[in-house]
Amino acid sequence: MTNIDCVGQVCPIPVIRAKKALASLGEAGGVVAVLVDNDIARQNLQKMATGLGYQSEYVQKENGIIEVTMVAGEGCAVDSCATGADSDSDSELVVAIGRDTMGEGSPELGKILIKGFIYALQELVPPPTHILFFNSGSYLTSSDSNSVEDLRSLEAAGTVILTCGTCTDYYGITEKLAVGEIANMYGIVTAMAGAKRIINI
Amino acid sequence: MSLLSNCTSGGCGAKIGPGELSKVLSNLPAFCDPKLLIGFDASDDAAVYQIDADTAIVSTVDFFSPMVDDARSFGRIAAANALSDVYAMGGKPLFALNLVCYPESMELDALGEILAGGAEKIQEAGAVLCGGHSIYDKEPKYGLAVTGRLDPKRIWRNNTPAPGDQLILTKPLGVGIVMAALRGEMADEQAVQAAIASMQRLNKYAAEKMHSFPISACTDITGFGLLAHAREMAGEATSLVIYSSEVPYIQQAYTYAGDYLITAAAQRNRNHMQGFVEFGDTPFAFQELMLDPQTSGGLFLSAPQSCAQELLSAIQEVEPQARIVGEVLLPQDLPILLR
Repeated sequence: MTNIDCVGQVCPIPVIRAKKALASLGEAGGVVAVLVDNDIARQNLQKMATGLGYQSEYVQKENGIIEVTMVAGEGCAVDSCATGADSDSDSELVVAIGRDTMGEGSPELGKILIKGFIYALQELVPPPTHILFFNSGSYLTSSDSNSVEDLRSLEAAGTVILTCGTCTDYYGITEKLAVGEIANMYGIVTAMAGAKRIINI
Repeated sequence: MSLLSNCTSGGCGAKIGPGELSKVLSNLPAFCDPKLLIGFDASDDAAVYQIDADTAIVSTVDFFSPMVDDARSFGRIAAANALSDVYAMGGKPLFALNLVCYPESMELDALGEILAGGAEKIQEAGAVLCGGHSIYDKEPKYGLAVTGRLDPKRIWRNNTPAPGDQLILTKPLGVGIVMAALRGEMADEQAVQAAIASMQRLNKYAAEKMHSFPISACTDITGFGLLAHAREMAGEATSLVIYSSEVPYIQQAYTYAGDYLITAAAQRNRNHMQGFVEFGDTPFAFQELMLDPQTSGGLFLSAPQSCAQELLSAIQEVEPQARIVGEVLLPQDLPILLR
């Protein structure tokens, strides 16, 4: 695994260094882990990874440091290569959903994908400990969402479903909450900080 | 010590994010004076205060840390950027004051160069430099407070386009991406020169041509990027269509964007625009160009279709890269549609 410390460096430097490291892995593939100190750099790294077809995930570390792990090459899943963690890290998965679509591109397709994504979360054993919804993601827990049934079944399986109250107020949909609870930012931060792994959409 | 070595981020890319800013501003008291024709509740480019029936003054301030290593160029860019808000309102700059922050540990020669670059642009604008204020600071920063005059009956507001209008952009996009590539030591010299020339260019020349035409709305492109300004222009009453293939850009910036030489500010702009733009199948590199933070960007204006082509030709005499980049529609599902 290649480790790159980009703490204190501003974009595009972390992206350039990660891209070079990924390219230098060649056909064999491998894992590149980048430390950054701001979430925008994390977003840019994952934007690059997604655009170039690498798998990526990230974990929030201490003091605002974020480790972004990118995997090049086939048959090398993030969770087996990157974290190298033991089996109990399969639990304590938190899914953070900050938008009502999935991926870049057509919003119409994005809405179909996010519906499919939430549906597929039900297949995970054990299920995620938390699913967090914020910004436009908070539409997904409202009564107009076509994911409500899937989320209710996740809730029945033990997943805590939290939606950002500031966000539902902002969009005027607080009264329409159809599944889970309203949370404040402290609740969201606590769930993220307690996560062993985070999937960020 | 170089200018850039002290800076974590430079130019308009260092602006506080639009979302963050509006949160803080909303807590301030509302000021009320009928002579204040445009105040900061309007999020316009500059404030306009009426003196009498035919005269209003336009006032604006802008400063930032260096985005280029050459002190003279930085001075020119910062001054062109500060003067631009007066042009974007339809005004003529009258006088300017220097704003300077400078590290005690740096050579004063470079400061002299910065101020000389600024003075060049103030002269070119036909305005006078009449003072300023300077303090010590860890990072160098420079800019101007500019006062201009305009006819209160002919203010170019930024959010009053009319359905059926056409949209014109006067300078190429991509200066933020080119400067990011430079920071990553991956920019070619020609691209850097094109970006610096564009940032130093006064919006005066395009504005002078525009004064012979009816202008529905006008703004200048800043660190928030084209799409944020388009959204501001669309307001509640219209939606804007942008033809991404018509948008002018610095040639190499398209390649750099495709190589992910991207800035933090562009990603902040992307987050801020979420839910307001229908990207359709616009290629990633074009999306990045339209979200790219511009330092001393061009004018973005809306004019009736009947004269848009003639207006474009007039502007192209002084800004050859200017293009008609879109049109104004009645409100659609989203304020900005990319085609």
